[in-house]
Amino acid sequence: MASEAPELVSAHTFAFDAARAQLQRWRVPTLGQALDELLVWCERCTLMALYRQYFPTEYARSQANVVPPMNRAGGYSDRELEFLGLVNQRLFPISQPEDYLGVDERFPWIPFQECSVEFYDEEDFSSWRRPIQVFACLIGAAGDDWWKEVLPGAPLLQDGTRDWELFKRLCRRAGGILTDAPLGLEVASLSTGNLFFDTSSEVGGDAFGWEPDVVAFLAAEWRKARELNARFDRLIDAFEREPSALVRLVTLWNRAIEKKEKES
Amino acid sequence: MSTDSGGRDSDAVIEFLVAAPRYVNPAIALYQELTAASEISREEMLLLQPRIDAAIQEGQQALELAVQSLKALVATEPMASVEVPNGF
Repeated sequence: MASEAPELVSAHTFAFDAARAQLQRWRVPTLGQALDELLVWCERCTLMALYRQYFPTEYARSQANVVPPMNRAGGYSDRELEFLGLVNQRLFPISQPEDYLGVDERFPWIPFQECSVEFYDEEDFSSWRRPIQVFACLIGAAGDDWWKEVLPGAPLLQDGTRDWELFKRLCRRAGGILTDAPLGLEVASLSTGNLFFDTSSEVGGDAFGWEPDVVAFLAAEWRKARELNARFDRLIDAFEREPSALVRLVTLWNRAIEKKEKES
Repeated sequence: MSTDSGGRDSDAVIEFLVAAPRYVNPAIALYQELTAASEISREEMLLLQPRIDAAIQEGQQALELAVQSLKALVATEPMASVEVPNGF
């Protein structure tokens, strides 16, 4: 391993800052500090192994340093940043350190970016496209007051637990746009079964470390998420072109109340 | 180690410490090596992971031993010295 020599000001004098930084590197740590730092290096090795595995050509070509410079010794090295950029471009979306962290910090887990639909406050809600607002009202994620504004003239939403299987059957039978309507409600209620759609940025999701199996899992989940996203976009576009289908959707939703409740 | 008197005890402890082999925990040694490094080649990177794993394992064992020793010291019954300390 090559060592970095402090900058020479003259034949006998080092620049003060460079000398101090060099001396700090040789400070004897406590055992706990050394172990913490080695765990960071452990992750660094793992990231490099993943870099080599997933992007062998780029890894072979890379001239970036594996060791972070002195001013960000606890952060990511240039080669790690390259890898994180490639993951974001080609495997699955992740937050980039420069957007969230100081130069001397690292993410404690894989910072994957969810793409769920979430309703935090009225400002957010009113910015969503109308079909998504309707989905939110159907699953009870928006207040009753919103309903009159979102879809004027639509039937009132009836209280009661829905029979989900019955609702899906009713949608299939109705055909057309409505066939895929359950997906809209699954997306809005964070229950698609896909990690990227079902993870809430407010509540948080599972924390994953950089393990090979996990990276493969996240990459596969993101491929599925992209397909889901395309289907969801098509659904929203179709409902926007044909708003009357939203009214029919509400009718089906009201018909899907569990029979026992209707009888009682 | 003799326990006859406080004086002999302290001599024995010092002798024991002087006779102990010089040792730097591998976790600290590797930490210093990595902290001093300005560049690591691809080949070195490949060999690094098993060295780190071994150093972490040895470091954690040493840390556990230190914690146990500290607990034992804290739990030790206090004992009056037979010698009056200087200054009294």
